[in-house]
Amino acid sequence: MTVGSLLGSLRRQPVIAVAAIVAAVLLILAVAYPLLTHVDPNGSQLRLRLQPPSWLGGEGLLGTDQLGRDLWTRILFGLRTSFLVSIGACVVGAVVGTAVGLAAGYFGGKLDAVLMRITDIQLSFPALLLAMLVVGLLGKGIWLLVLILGLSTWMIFARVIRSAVLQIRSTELVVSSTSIGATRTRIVLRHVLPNVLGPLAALVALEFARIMLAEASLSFLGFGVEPPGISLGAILAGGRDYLQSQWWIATFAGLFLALAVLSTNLVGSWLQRVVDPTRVTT
Amino acid sequence: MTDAAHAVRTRAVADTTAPPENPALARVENLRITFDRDAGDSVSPVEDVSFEVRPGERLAVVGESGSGKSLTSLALMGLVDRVGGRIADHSQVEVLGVDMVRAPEPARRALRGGGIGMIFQDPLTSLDPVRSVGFQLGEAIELHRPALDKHETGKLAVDLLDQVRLPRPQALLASYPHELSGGMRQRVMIAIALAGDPDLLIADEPTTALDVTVQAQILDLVHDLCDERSLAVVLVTHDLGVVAGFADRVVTMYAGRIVEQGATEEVYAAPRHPYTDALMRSIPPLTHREPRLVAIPGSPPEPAHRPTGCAFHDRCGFAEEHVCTTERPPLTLVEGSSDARRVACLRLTEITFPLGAARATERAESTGPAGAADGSPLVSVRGLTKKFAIRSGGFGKREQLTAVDDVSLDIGRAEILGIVGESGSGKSTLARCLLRLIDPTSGRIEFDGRDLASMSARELRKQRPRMQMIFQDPSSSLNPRMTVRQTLLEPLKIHGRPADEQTLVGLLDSVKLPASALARYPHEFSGGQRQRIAIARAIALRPELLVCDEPVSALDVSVRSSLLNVLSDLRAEQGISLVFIAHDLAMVRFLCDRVGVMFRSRLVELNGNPEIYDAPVHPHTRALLAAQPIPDPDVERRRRTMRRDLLNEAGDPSTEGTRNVESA
Repeated sequence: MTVGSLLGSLRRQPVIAVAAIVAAVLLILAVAYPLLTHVDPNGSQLRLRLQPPSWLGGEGLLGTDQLGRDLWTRILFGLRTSFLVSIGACVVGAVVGTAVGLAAGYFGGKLDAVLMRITDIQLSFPALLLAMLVVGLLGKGIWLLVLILGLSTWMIFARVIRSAVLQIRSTELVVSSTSIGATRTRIVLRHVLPNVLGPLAALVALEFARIMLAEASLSFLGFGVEPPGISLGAILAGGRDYLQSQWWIATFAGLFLALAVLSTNLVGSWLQRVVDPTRVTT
Repeated sequence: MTDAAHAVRTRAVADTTAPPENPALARVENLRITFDRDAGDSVSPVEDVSFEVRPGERLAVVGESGSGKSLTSLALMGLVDRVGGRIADHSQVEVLGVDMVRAPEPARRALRGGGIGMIFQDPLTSLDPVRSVGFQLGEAIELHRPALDKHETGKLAVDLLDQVRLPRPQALLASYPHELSGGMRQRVMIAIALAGDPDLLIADEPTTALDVTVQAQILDLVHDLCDERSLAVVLVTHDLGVVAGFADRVVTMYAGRIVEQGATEEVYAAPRHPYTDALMRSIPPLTHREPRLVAIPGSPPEPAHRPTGCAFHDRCGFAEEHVCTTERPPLTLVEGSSDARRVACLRLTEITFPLGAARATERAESTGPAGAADGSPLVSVRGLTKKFAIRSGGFGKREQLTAVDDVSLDIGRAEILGIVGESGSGKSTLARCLLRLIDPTSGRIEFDGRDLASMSARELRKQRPRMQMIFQDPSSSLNPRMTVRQTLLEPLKIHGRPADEQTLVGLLDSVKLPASALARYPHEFSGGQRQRIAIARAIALRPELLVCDEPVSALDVSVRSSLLNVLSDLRAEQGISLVFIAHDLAMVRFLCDRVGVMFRSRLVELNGNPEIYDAPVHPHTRALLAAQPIPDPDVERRRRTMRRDLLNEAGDPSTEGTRNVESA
């Protein structure tokens, strides 16, 4: 899969191409925020509170919030939190879930039964409620949030990876590797794992967007990132009271959140389709 | 048929000699089927195909993968648009007076299951698993015979099951597809196809998923039904042996075009197209042991990558530069032959095939390759048994399936041992037990004097380089994410063997693949080439024993013989012992020194190569030999009656597929 053929595939799918550009722009905004704003995101100027965007005769690119903080700067920092938490939680969930799924699927038997029951038990808990409980007990913090959200998603990875492994086990790949003298570790890491990367990529794409929303929800409810940390969910919560008159606060925060979730989801599912080497490249 | 339609047709195919009053049942003219691809371009898997089906005749459409034979049969059923294909404007497909391209869908639908009966490859997926046989048969009858009342429908259903020779038809109506064996399911499919009292039966690879003995019975049944009901059949298949015993006329397709057509006897006696000729000669004979098979180089092209000019020129021994490579051969009438014998070859008049002569001389020389060397056997198996625990239905009730039952055999050094048997006979389980890829329940497997069955995992891994295996489906045994280089390097790395470029190129050379293959991925190769890669990996460690589990069954007919030659060379050049597992007795005849026959988990007969063919002892061996299709119409016709008695004796259809299940 070369860069050229990836670009060629994008050219044939304009919707995905737009989504890829949007996702890239959002990521650049989240990473390169110092170049785009020089304002302290928490610096409140009560004199300039609830100002509309400058192009509507107000203050700042996207206006200010109820404490007079620059909304554009806060959204940039919120995006940064969104990406950071989602990437971190996905890594945690994918690593834990893949390990569990590989072990359960490849070795089967009692280990499989025990691991899958644990998975079932955790799946039966509402993830957000559990997250709120843990936050209530252990306190807030962005890295704790990464861990909690990561551990709220590993079960899905475990299940999908397990079924993918079972499918590979049923082919002759495992037997033929055994017959050349490969050890079990080698078979799992060199033959099984690379062949479940396709479903893994698809799932990361879906879960990435879901976690982004979950983080925003938790922050909206006051269980997520707390000040001075900034989250799009918290901005939305703050803007909720001003929807009628100062619409821009909730609208722009919500718009950026929606764009981030939608574009990463589209790009993720497209990537999953094109990186599969068994697919004949046209 | 209207005058206008007729006029269009005669204009479209000026060279078609069929007179207008010829009452053809079905007529395909200038059929071209095109698919649009994601990339924006399009491919045409079927190009310019014309033929007709006459009332009551058995017509076979033969071809390999990518030949367009199945799409052609879909066109006859008016189903091409359902699979996303387009039929060109100048194409005509007419069945029983209905235009299957342009007629409205209801008219076409009425014909399917009515005037046209259809049978497909896998009866398990074509039958509804949650409906009883009686329901599905009744449904077919109600759709196409609305005049019948409930009582008459029931009677007809029983009558149809009786016609397809199913025992106890009344009781069978209440059973479900999963309760029936493969052969019985296919009989039910045929009964459903007959429900609309068709004039034309289209059978797309109807016996490919079945065992040879069942295949023979099903084909004989369809053959008889044709005579009884004056039914015309279009049999779509890849198997030239099946055609010989079945068809009156044969249409051979290659790369989307018809390359040869004519009466079966004439085509088989003297094929005139280089492809047909090479294909016939590449099939190993059952009557004697060839020293070497005629191999066709390369593999059939995919629709998107067909060569210019004659599509066969790159594999043809007679191809001439600037003629065959540039000009597309028209399908022309062969002079002096009867019954619309046509061949699409530019050099038709220039070349002659020494088919008959070649066969006679080879037979005279044929003594077979040197037999096994003397001395102690490499592998000695005693009392090998493998049982699987299967859970069935109820709480904690366990049953055991005996897959291999008390098998004892020896494999000599540099010997090729064939194991034949039908599906479920335990031959694949035996193969895996031999290499201890699965643990046997009891018995000894002595490999060079040491018992594999009781060896520790670590010890076993040390022995692995000495014994290797090749599987049926190379696309599932090779890692799709590893290049050929990585694939070949892996065994060498695991066992710490030196692995330089020269070694890898040498491995590829011994399976006749170019060095340029190293950097590519398995999916970039054809099925036959992939199997060569699998063989190259297996011999990388210089094993003493190579177990091949149906290594060519998944491959196209034209690439099989060259692979069999490769296997034969391995023994001759490297002294490797081979266990060759197959269901095709003709391939075993060519390759093996001794043959074992598995039947219901037991090794029922084991004998030397000429002996077991000349004087088979066990009834199942005799049944297998009688059912093996032979690509010779004369022989097949003579065998049909003899076969019927033998197969009836060997297996009642009501018991076929019975497994050795015992309570534990």
